[in-house]
Amino acid sequence: MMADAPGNEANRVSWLNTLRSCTGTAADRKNRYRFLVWAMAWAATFLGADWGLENHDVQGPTAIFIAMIPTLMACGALWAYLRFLRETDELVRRIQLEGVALGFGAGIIFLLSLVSLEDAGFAKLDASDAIALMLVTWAFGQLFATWRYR
Amino acid sequence: MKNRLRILRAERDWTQATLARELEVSRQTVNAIETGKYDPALPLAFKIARLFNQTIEEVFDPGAEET
Repeated sequence: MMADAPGNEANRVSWLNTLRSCTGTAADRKNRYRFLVWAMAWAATFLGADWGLENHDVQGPTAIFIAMIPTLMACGALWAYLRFLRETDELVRRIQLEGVALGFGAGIIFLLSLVSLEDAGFAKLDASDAIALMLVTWAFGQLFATWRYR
Repeated sequence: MKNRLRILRAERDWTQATLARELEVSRQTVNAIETGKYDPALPLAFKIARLFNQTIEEVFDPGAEET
């Protein structure tokens, strides 16, 4: 097999570097990967703990321990996200801030409106609906801010 | 705020990705500064000026708005 001509290799390296630069700095990629691992561990342990506690007769300290495992993973994800924020560049930090502000604000407004809406005869909603809304608006806020500074 | 970043980069025949690597920021940040959508904070502005051996005033013009 013939080796790439130097020009082709340089083009490929340049193309790869351009692609990498679209996802931020090397530190950003590492920190995003770390956050993703923690978030996936959180989701997996949450589903596992939920299934285990519903389908098995586990009670007492063991049940509390199982229920707390996802919380530990969530703390890890939060730590990874904060580290990402600390080490990323200032524009990415601003984009993240706009996303978090929109998500947090939407969650608070939704939770505060919930009581009044229920009193007005609206269908009963719970905290998980607010969490889902916060996640969606957080993602939307990031996408919108990314588009604004594109 | 208007700036000469795109010109200074072009003089060195650098891509946005190359400049982003030199400044240790994302390519999106370089693009946003060049297009005037984002004004960098002082530490990054100093870094940019030093990289091109210029003063901050020679790179950034606070009196002009990017169109």
